[in-house]
Amino acid sequence: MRIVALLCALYCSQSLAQLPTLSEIELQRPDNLMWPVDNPLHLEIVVEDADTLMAHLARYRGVTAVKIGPRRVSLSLSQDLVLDESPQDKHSHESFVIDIGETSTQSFVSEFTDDRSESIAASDIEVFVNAYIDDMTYIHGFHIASRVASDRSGDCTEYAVLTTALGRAVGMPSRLIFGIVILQAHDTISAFGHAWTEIFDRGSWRLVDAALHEVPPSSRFYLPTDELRNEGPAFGFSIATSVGTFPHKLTLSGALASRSH
Amino acid sequence: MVSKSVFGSFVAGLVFSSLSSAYDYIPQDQLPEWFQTEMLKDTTVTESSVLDLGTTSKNARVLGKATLVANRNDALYYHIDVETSSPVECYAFSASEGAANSLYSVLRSTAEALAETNQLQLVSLLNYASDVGVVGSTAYLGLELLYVIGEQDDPSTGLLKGLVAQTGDTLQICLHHEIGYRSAFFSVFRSFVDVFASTNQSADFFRTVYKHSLGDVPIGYVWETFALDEDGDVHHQSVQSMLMPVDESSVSRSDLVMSEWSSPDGSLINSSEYTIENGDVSSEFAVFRHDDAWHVEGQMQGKEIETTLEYDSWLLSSFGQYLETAIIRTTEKSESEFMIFLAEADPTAATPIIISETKDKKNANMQMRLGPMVFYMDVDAGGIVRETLFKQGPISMNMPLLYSSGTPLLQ
Repeated sequence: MRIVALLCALYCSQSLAQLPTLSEIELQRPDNLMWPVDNPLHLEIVVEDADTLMAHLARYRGVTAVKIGPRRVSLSLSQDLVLDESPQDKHSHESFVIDIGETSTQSFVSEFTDDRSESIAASDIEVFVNAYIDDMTYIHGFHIASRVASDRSGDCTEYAVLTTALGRAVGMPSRLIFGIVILQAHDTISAFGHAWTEIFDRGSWRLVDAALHEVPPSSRFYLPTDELRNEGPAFGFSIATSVGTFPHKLTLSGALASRSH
Repeated sequence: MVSKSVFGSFVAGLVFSSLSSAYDYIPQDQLPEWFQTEMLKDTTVTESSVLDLGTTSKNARVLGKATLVANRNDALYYHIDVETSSPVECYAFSASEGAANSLYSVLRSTAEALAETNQLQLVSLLNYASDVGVVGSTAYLGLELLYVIGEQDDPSTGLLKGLVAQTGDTLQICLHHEIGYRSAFFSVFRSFVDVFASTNQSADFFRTVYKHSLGDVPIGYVWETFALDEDGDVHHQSVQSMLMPVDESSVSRSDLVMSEWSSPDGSLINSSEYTIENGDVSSEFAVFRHDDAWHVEGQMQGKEIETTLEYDSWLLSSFGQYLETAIIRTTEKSESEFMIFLAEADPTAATPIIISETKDKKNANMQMRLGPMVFYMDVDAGGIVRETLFKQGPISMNMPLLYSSGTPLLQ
């Protein structure tokens, strides 16, 4: 399981300039691709189980998915992706991974809440966590919130864990998401495994990505494929399941496929 | 087997010895011409000398001219002259934080010392190459780091090569601060490891070494030994060490050490393990039987875990996984389901494992299902796993057998 956690770390990206080569997922693009790419982005992906991904994406507004084979899905992916569900109780609770009761996590939360009199928005959390983690590194497998709070170190999973913890600590339902981020910069576009957070703020879920806070939102497309379902000591299996939902390959296309075949 | 990512098999007496099979992260053509030229330099070391083992009485010969430079309580430190600008430096540690963590730590501190000695800044330390293989029956890890020291407008570049192996309770690490000379360095390291391997007489009835590769990239190994005690119980030890370059300048280090006792029928008696990640003990667990229940004590990422498993019956040991694999491979039985204790999966509950035949895979005839993960195995007629393949989403890993001796089946 250690290997799975490490591999998950490999499949996380922080910024286009520092991406590890092993984290990249194959993305093919047409030669005549125009820059910047359109929003929504049209692409075809190869996954282990198209039905599972289709069911997961059906919960979101901003993405249209058409199954074109047992392992192939055509997508129209907007940058304004919103989970169309109410929060569940578990999205507000402490857990083994999101351990907001631990001393180091509480100190971290206090640092955020002290001297903050105005109402808190999800975007405030993104800014704070981005600045709080000062050692961006991929060497960790998957650290729980109290460990991240004390180490101030990690990659996208650690940013997402700490963001989720802070959201819950200040009373905003939060969940840790796994998936793919597609980043464009100048005339390059690449896809990487990634983790981020969804925070329920003022009546809707908002995507919060403290790891990529400094990358312009217009350069990012997110494809959520799973969430961290088991936040207990057996979180390793949940990570393994989530990594299994990542696409193997993505191909940019001109339009959404119109039918199954 | 599957516990701690160990997948075993044996081929009696089979010995592989890899040499200079390093995986280069930086293509040669992206390096300056002078560096490429230097990398081609090598030599054949023919001279040998006696290696002074300090307080122990045994002496042995190594390639090169060895000098014992320091003899501390827990470490011997040598310079071995091979007629290059810098000698090969070798350490023998009697206590360490594991092969992967120790090798990286020694390489990094050597690079920092180089900069400090020259009163310069260590500008960068880049991953240049890694390697995994065996020297005789001993697994080794290799890592080469390209360093840049000095000022931005006048930098100096060099290469630190490092190799590490563990024989018994002793860790052997060799370094060479020299561009090129890979083959010469490896041959000295091999002779150094052989000295300690020859003094390590084990009573194992079965031993394996497996390599871990992510795609083409070698990232680590796991070795395991099985020995009988006076009561006829099986003592299983395994060590998994991984050096995973995660970006151009960072390496994730992990060493997992496990000790397990099993009954001859494959049922677990007790087990303990610990993992050191990036220099820190990240988890440690012990599972044992008391009052007809399984108890777990330990910690994960600093959080204490002390629990009694809900499942209170027979747990399959690592040794038992070999037995069951052999049974399925050699009889009409096509599938078995058991419960195991796998702390990395869930330290608070027993985990089901299903071992079965598979007929639709090209390079595998059996599979092991563990939660959401399926490991495909090429098992020979003796119930021996020759290679394990694992694919999860875009991740593809393979774990070929590098070495085995003996048999996992008790006579």
